[in-house]
Amino acid sequence: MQEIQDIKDFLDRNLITVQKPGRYVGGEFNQTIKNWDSVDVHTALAFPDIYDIGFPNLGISLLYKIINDRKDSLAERVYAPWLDMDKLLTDNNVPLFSLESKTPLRNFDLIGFSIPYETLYTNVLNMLNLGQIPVFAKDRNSTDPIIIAGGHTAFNPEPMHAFIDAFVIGDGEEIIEEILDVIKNCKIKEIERQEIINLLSLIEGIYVPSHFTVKYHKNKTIKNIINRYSTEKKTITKRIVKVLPSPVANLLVPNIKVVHDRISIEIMRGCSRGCRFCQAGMIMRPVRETRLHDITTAMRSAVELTGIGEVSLLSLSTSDYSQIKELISNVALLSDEYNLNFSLPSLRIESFNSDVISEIKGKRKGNFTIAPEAGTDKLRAIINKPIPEQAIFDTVQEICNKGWNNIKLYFMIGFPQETMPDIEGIVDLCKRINYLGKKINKGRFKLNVSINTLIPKPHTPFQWVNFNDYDQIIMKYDFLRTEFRKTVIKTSFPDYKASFLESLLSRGDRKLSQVIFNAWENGAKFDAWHECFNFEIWEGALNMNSIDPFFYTGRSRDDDEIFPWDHVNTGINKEFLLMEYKLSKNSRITLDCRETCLGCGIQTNYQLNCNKVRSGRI
Amino acid sequence: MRIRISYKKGYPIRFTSALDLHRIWERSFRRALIKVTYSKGFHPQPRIQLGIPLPLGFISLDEKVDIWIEESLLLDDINRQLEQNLPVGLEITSIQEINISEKALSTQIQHSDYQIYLMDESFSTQIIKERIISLLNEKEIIREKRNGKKYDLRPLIVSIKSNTEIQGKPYITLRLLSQQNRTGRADEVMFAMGYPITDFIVERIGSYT
Repeated sequence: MQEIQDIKDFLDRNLITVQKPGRYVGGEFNQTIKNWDSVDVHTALAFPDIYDIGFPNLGISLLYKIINDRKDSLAERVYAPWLDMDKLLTDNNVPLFSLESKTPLRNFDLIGFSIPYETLYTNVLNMLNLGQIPVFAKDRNSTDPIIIAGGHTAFNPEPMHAFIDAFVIGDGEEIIEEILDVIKNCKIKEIERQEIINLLSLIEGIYVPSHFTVKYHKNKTIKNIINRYSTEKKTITKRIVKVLPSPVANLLVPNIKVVHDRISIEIMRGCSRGCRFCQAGMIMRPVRETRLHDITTAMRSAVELTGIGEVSLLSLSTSDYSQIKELISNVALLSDEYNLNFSLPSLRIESFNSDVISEIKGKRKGNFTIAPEAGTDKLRAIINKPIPEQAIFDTVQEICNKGWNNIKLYFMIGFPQETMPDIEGIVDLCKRINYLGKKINKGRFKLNVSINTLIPKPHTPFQWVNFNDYDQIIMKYDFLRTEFRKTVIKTSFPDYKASFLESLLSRGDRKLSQVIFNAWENGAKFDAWHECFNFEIWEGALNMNSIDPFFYTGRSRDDDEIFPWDHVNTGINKEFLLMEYKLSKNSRITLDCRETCLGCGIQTNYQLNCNKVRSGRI
Repeated sequence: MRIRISYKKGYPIRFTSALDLHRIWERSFRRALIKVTYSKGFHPQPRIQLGIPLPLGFISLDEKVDIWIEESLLLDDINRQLEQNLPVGLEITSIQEINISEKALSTQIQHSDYQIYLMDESFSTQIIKERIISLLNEKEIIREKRNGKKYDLRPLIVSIKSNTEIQGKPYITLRLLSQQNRTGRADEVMFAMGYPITDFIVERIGSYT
């Protein structure tokens, strides 16, 4: 208790010296503060980036509510302190603390990190260290919290295997209850820490990396992955919730500006389209829609409970929601009643018609984003995002006529079999769209083009392909830069080295844990931030461990290679992914699987019927 | 209907800037199910006018905000609906109805009073008094704004004195001009006397016409 008071006193005097001190004080409307001694299990939900970025995370909002709804548990939050706060804490030996009660991280029973992307890894280490918890799992003892991690990166947990006690694979809503039950029972029975972790490993969807041994071939590829603790659990099957719960309505309301400062309502999980580069589209199957009634009710209560004037409907492909027309008219009604703005990210132009556009009026007409991904019909077939060029023009024409003036186009480069005509195709397509937009809306029309680099991801048909080498990518960037400079079209390009790091970590194996550690030890943190990212530190860490990054990034994999993430079972069979990869080589399209099942494996592996699950009829 | 709310700003909302506070009021009203009037035009904005902005980190006993609402409501009802919808650290002290055409608060205020609490016992009242005297003896006190512009703080100080201790700690009372283009910052006065930001906390007591 004295320690918490000391932290509070310290903050009272010193917080004013850091940027945006509101990041570190909590006190948001709808925050839950429970009496520490009134519950059995104390959980800290941690997000390894700053408050402004982590605050809107929907997974954390959901878990925060589920845990705090339990009488026996509490959940508090913690985000990565920005550099100035990091220094302030370090210089004064003040431990990283939770926002709600200002309790040091090391005093919690459980810390759950949500790690959506790989460039947050060093921040996880940094937060553990600031929380005065040993960074390596093997160094923790009976008084340390149990460190779990979930989110999309958990689908290849290996690069972080040395730091995390247990990974949660898949949907968190149900498994969190089982985790809390185990921890509570163990605490009551005073069971020791390692045994708690062993018991957690028995939960479906939990991966305890220290139970597994990985053996390698001479060529450094994997020979086998063995569970020493239990021969029965050869693979970890991801968790799915068959029926999506009602969206959280009493969301926290920030006291300072954060990104995506709006009410986010998940309307659908998963996607049936099967773009071959898209990890979310594969790992989040089967598709499940939130019931229209639940969405409408949650939207209204969320507006009344938070007072936030902007609603965003989230999914991987919003216009594929089966009752999208009804949904949008409900949203429009609510919007008039409360003076709201609303946004519908991730609209797919194939499934999107003018009725939908007419209803999206709101108060502001912001950006309208279209993601053709590739510049030619041929390459869009290879990546299985078969949007005909004409459909792109028709959509642009339609939305310009409806009054949108800012259009954003997303492209990726570095796809397999990509040729210069495909890159020229990007420029050509953009120029023609710009011409069309200017014809309709004259000088007010603005086109922004965002170019990204393909990062081949685990559990996708492109998990076998190589990340393009430096010369090729830079040559393509340069070509695009030169061509776009001749136009009025604005462009943005990623930093090659940042993409390279993401590519390295995405398909990394256990050997990268030591690299991540050395990089962090030498100052790497906030690698997702352009101003903080320092590739030389990573190069140094790779050298220190005699690791050639090319093995992870630049290499095409053999069809039968065992991948570091093969013991993580997403329900999609590897044979299906391989078939998709081979189809891509022949520019063959695979249809949306709503009409005809393509046998990806999810139905048989989970013994479910996708059509029924989609609409919540199980 | 235009109402003027007087409120206290304390911990932790003292770390919320004036700009962000604007949004907090808008959201608090929406939660209270009281419809705020929106401006006309392309980007409708809620009609909410904060008084003299309170610098980040300051606490206050008496802040004011003017808000235009769609319906005519009883002030007690507004208070009741609103008070349970405010974030921790904001506390309404009174609500009054004011004339729609009354001038903006920020144009009427002439000066503000502050109490400044020193966070360290080692600052004796005697030392503080000496520092105040030497500050007042200065003909001009040149300080720099965030944008780099230099200005003279001295004429913005109406009065300053040290006080006997509250809970063992001395405090300073200060009156500064708070006019639209002539506003003194209490923390700048403290900096001019050699106190770093970590040594004190500023509380605004009130602003007067």
